[in-house]
Amino acid sequence: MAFLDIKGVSKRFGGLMALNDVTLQVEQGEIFGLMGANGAGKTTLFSVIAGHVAPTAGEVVFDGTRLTGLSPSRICRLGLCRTFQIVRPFAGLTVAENLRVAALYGSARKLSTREIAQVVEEALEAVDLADRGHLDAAQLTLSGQKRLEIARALATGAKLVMLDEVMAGLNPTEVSAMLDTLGRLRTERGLTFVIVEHVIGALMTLSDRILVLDHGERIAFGTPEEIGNHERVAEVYFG
Amino acid sequence: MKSFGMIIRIALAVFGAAVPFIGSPYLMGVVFQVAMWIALAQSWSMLSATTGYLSLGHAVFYGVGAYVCVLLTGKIPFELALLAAAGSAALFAALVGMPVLRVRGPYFVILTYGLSELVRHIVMRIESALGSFGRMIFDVPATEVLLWWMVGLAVLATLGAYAIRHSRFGAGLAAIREDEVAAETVGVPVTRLKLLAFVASAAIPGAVGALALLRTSYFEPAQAFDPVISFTIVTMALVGGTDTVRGPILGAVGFALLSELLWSSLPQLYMIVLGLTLIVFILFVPRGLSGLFGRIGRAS
Repeated sequence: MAFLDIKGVSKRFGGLMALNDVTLQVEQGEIFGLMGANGAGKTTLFSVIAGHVAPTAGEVVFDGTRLTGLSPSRICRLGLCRTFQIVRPFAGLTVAENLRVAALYGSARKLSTREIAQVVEEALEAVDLADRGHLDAAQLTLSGQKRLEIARALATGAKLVMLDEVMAGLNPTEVSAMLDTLGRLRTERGLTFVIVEHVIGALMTLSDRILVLDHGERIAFGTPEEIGNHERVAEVYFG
Repeated sequence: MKSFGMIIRIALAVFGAAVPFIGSPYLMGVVFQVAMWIALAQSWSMLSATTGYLSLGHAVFYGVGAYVCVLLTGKIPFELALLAAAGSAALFAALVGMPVLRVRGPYFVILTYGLSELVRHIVMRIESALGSFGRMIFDVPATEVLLWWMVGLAVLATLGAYAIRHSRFGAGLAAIREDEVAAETVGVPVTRLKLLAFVASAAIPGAVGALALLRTSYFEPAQAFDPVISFTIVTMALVGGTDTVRGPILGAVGFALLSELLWSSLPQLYMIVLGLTLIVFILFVPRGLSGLFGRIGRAS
C-alpha cells in the first residue's frame, strides 16, 4: 500500500469543481511534484490532505490511517505536515520559539525538555537558520521565513512534508540553496515530500514523479522527462 | 531580577494577610479592593493576554459567582459556597465557550460584552419576577476571613497566570495568538486549548464575585453584573501591561489606589480618568506600566 493514498478526491466550491476525482499514490522517501497553472487545484489538494478543507467526495489514507474527517492538528501528530504558500510565521515569537511550539505539539509522543531543545536545534540547522534562532520571526527575510515554514514542519517530526511553493519569490541563488536543503533532507532523514512549485526548473530537478493538474483534473503523470515531452502539458503551459 | 520580583510579590501577599491584625477597617477595605482587582485582572490575562482574545465580559463570571453564592448562602458552609461559585462560573464558561470562541478580534470583544449584558438582564428579570429587588444576606463571615480569602485568590490567580505562561499550555496559547491556522497545522489542538483557557480564566472571578457579595452582604443583579467591572479589568490589565505576570498587578494596584484617592475627593471624575488613562496607555505606552518600568530599568 502507498504511503499517501489519495482516492478519488473531489472538492466543489459552489459551482466550481476545484478538484475532480483526483487519485494518486505517493511512495515513502520520494519527492512527488504537483504542477499546474493558477487555479488548477494544487493548493486545494494540499488543504484537503492536511485537513483544512473537507472533500466533497473521496478519501485520503496516510500510513494506513484514514485522514478524512480528522482535524489538522491530529493529522500533524500522525506525521503529515504542510507549509503555506503565503508564509504564516508566529511573527511575535522568536524563530526558536516557533519551532519549540511545533516540537511541543506536533510529535506523536510527548518529548522531554532535552529532546525538544535537540529537535529545535536540528530543525534550525537543517534549513541554515542556526544563527537566527533568537530573532523575532518577523525580522527574517522572505527567504528566511520560507525556511522557517519548512523548519517548523520538520520540528513536528513529520514523516511527510507538503511544501506549497517554497521557492516562489526567491532569487536564483536562494532557489539553488533551497534545492540543496531539500535534497539533503530527503537523503539524510528519509523524509517524503509532496511539492507544489511554479518554478518549473526546480520541480523538474527535484521530483521523482510529477502529476499535472488542470482545472481540478489530472492530465499527465510520470517522470520529469515524460512530463517534459507530454503534449497536453505543453498545451496547457504554452498554449 | 526574577527572584526580586518574586520577593515583592510574596511581601505583598504577606502584608495583605497581616492587615487584619493592624485592624484598621479602612486599610482592610483598600487591601480587599486591591486583592480583588489583582485576582480579576490576573484571571482575565489567563485568556486574553495569552491568546489575544480580549474578553469584555468578565463581569458575567463575577456575577454568576455572586448569584450562586447568594442562592447558597446559609444552606451550605461558606467555603463550599465559594467553591460552588467558582465551579459554576467555570461551568458557564465551558458551556458558552464553544460558540463564543468561534469568533475573534473585535467580534469576540463585542460578543463577550453582549453575553454579559444578556445574562445581567435575564437575572434581573428572574429576580423581579420573584418579587425581590435585591437580597440582604445575614450571617456573613467576619471581614478578616473574607480579606484572607481574597488575598489568597489574588496569590492563586497570579501563580496560575505565571504557571500557564511558562508551560506547554502557554506556548500553545501564544501560537494561537500569533496565527491560529498555523498553530493548528503544527499540531496545536486550537479549539480545546482556547476553551481550557476560557474556563481557567472564569473560575477565580466566580469566587471573587462571591466574596465581594459577602463583603457588601447585599445582592442586586445590576450591580453584580455591572459592565463597569469588565471595563475596569481590561483597563487595569492593559495599563499594567499584558506581556508579563507583574503587569496586571501593577495595573490593579495603581488603579485601586487611584480610585481611593478620587472617590474621596472627586467621585464624578473616576470614570473619566479611567477612560483617559486607557487612551493614553494604548497610544503611548502599548506595553503598559510593566514595559515602562522594564525600559527604565534597562536604561539605567
